[in-house]
Amino acid sequence: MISIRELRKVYPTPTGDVVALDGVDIDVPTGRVAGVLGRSGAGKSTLLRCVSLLDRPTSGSVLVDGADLSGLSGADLLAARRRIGNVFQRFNLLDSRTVAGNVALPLELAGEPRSRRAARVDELLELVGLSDKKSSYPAQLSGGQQQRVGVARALAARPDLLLCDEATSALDPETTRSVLALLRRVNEELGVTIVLITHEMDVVTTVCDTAAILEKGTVAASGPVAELAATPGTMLSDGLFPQLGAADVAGDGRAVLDVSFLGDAADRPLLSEAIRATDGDVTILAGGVETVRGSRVGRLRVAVDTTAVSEATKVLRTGGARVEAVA
Amino acid sequence: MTGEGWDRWAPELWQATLETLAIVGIAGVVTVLLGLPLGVALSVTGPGGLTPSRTVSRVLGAVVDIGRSIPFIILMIAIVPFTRLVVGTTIGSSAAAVPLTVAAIPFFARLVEAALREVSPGVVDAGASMGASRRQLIVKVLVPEALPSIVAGLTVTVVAMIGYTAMAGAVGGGGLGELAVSYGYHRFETGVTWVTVAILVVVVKAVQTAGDLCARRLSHR
Repeated sequence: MISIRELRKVYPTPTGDVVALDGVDIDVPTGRVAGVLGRSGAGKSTLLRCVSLLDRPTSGSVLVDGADLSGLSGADLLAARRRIGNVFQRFNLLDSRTVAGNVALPLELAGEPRSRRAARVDELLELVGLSDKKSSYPAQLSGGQQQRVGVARALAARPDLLLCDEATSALDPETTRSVLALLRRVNEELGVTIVLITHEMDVVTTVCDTAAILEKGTVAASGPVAELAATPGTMLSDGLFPQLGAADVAGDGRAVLDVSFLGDAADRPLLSEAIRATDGDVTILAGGVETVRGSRVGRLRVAVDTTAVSEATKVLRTGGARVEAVA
Repeated sequence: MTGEGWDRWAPELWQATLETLAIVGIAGVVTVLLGLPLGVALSVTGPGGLTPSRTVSRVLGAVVDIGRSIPFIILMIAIVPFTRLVVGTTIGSSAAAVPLTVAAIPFFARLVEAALREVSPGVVDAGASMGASRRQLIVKVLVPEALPSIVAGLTVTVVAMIGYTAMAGAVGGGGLGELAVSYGYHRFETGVTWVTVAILVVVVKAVQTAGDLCARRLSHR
């Protein structure tokens, strides 16, 4: 279990303190893939540097299996950093080293003997599908291939945690998918816990089991991804489903409702039930149904006769949907 | 210079060329041995370096800049006692190598510092996140990544040193410079001057070409 507890990071500047992280709590159970979603400036990079132990938090702790890593220094700190693999947005491979040399670097730093390094490098390149590029230099590879090398390098020292910093943000959509598939495979086959820090919603809905939404240095919402997607108002849900104005229909004897449903509720004919129960008209204004990590998640904006609103709301809620009136 | 003159000058020119190469070679090796660590020290103690230290960086920077700003001809004379201490003499090629090295070290160190500063901070972060110690970061990440630029800097340094040996030669430092001044200038053998210049041009060109080739070979970008 990776636990981030009450993490605070304050940067003193000449014009006053800047609070980058203001008490962040995130739990990632061992073997899961967690996303941290946030816009730029939300504190993602700071969080990342604190968790990868490159920066020391002002207060709070980063616990891996109960051991607090955030206060370490000296050799203990270096050893703790080796337990956390990092995948970077810009890959950050060494131009001066071949693919094999890059993957071997963490092992070299850890003092692993040469013979064992070679075997481990072959194993990792096999895993990421780049065995034939062993002797190539990073500049000879495509972005997607470079990131695969980055993943192999991050896994070399058998870390407990793989930390991915916008790992796919520099890649095109297709390459993004293949790198995400690789990360998922790494998680499933090696059981490595992964934390993905990203501003891309798709990344979270594609590979993450749970997510935390970071806003202005605090966790605005967290939980299983499908649940977050079904919760109106979260960045995940608002990004996944179209945003609409309600003004054009409201006021002519109808009320506008936002209906969100998840899992079982998404599989039931809830709208039909509502129509039958109220004997009123229901007009769909907008909406969508998505499959997020195997669960169906839907969001509809509907207009209902004002007389039928309370009954319709009751029926929908009974069926497991979440209903909110739109002003 | 007649055919007869050429027979007379050729051995001396050859001898002087070897002397120049020897001076630059020895001074160059010592410059790398001392200038590289100094450049690394300047870089890692500078702002944004691995171990920023305002005091160390300022002291080193001041020493280096004073070294670089003293005209070579003055430096040569000013450090005569030091030269005598190191090589036991103040004339000849070994005496020329000492001020040459003293002048080249700060010059090269600044070029090394600039080369190291060009290494992407992301790559250094990557190394640090893998648990590299500071020494490992320098030896395994910073210097190898900056090596093509360091080699380019060394080429510039060596070319400048070749020019300085000629100046040292003018005040008894041996090599092509001494030949050009003592025969070409003082004895009006203009031909000798021209030939020395031609040799220097060829040597400089050769060094530059070799340096470029080396830097290109090392760069895998």
